[in-house]
This record gives sequence, C-alpha cells and structure tokens, in this order.
Amino acid sequence: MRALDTTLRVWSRDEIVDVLEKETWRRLEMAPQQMVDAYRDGSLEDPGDVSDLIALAFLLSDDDPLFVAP
Amino acid sequence: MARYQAGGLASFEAYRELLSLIFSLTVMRISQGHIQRQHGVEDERETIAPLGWPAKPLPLNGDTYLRFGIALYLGETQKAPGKRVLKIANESFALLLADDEDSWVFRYEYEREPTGRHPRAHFHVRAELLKPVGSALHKGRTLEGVRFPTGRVSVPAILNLLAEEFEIPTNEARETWRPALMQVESDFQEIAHQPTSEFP
Repeated sequence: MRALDTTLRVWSRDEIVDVLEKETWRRLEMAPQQMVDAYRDGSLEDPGDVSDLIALAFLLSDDDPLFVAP
Repeated sequence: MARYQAGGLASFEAYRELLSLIFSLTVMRISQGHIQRQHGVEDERETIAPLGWPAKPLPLNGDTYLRFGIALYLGETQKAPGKRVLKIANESFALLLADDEDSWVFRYEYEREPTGRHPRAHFHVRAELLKPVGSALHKGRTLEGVRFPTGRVSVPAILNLLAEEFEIPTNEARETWRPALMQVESDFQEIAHQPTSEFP
C-alpha cells in the first residue's frame, strides 16, 4: 500500500472535474463551466464563498474542454 | 532572499515548507494538520492548502479550523527579466468554529486580477448590526456580505491575528514564533503585489 504523501497531492484531470461537477452543482446549482465563466466576467455573486473551487479549477489548463464552449 | 523567491519549479515546495514551519510554530494542530501542495495538469500552477482539501479545513488548536487555499503560478517579473517567479493568483482564509464550511467567523480574500466591482483584497466579518445602516442592508443583504477593502494581508499576519487577537493556543512560545513571523512578513512585503480597488 502506498504511504500517504502529506506534502504533495497530484490530481488527475478526471479527479478535478469530478469534484468540480459535484461541488458546483451542490453549492451553486450550476455547472463548473458556468461558475468559471461567471468568475471570469465578474458576475459571480460571492467568489470568496467558492474560492476553493476556483483554486481547484485553476489546476486545469485554460484550454481545458471543461471551459471551452462546444 | 527567501528560497521561495528564487524562482523555478522548486519555489512551490520552498513556499510550502515555509508555510508549514510558521503554521507549526503557531496555531496548527500538529497531530492532525498538514500543509500540502495540490498539483494538477499544469507544471507551473499549484495550490497550497490543507491535507484533505477542498473537503477538509486545517485543524487548529483550541478546536478551531482554518479553511484556506493559495493558488500559485510561475510568472514573469520586471525585477528579473527572463526569470519565472512564484506569484499568487488568488488566496482565501476563513477561521471556522468547527469542521463545517458554514461556521466561519471572518474571511480574507484576494484576487490578483479584477473580478467584477469588488475590492480585490477584502475581509468579511460575520456579525450583526445593532441598527440598520444604508439601504443595501435593508434589502436582505447581511453585514457578513459586505466586503471591507484592505491591502494585501500576509499569511504571517493571519497567523498573528489568530494567535494574538483570537488567542488560539500556539505550539511554541511567543518569543520563538513572533520573530519567525516578522521575518517572513518582511520578505513578503518586499515583493507583494498590492491591488488597487476597482471603481467601474
């Protein structure tokens, strides 16, 4: 069994997207794409209340399919 | 110069080590708390946060908690052209009374880039007015929703606030942790980005 690394956690894209999908719907009742779009254009009502999700989304690439409109 | 200011990928771990040291000297519940780098798909971006983030806050002494995250990246600096140094994209800190996201007492938040009409560095305080002030607070908005603008507040300043004002027990004597915080504060203020308030 691999020992828990308390200094570094490496997130895969799928892990990040999974948490974002669950938490943005639960806390904001919106999709992660909507949250990031609203954050970037300044219309998110209380960015500080979801600062953890913003920081998690920050770990993805800017051109991640999650953020690029189809 | 502090090691985290040297630039390059090693800056992420150097900054984590520094934060781990000053949290350990002060209010972190050492038996349960860990400061961890969160690495995603981009080499030059990381977030520093507690172990278990984003679900879990950092356990502090005195049965309190700190929810925090510091989103970092490597970027250009005018002071050293060609060198990529550590910069903070955004950060947030919230003192919690329990392991529960709704139990916050105060919040400090900073955004490097403007996001709407809000001050880029600000505090929220959970409190109630003794009597109504202004029309906004008559429209269902509460005092805790008010963003009190401030300049940059460093991690040492947050730790000092928790130890001195909230009197959360520290792991080491004041004579030990206070000089350490002052040194880290001094290094930080030399390079800290200071946001201006936005008035669009």
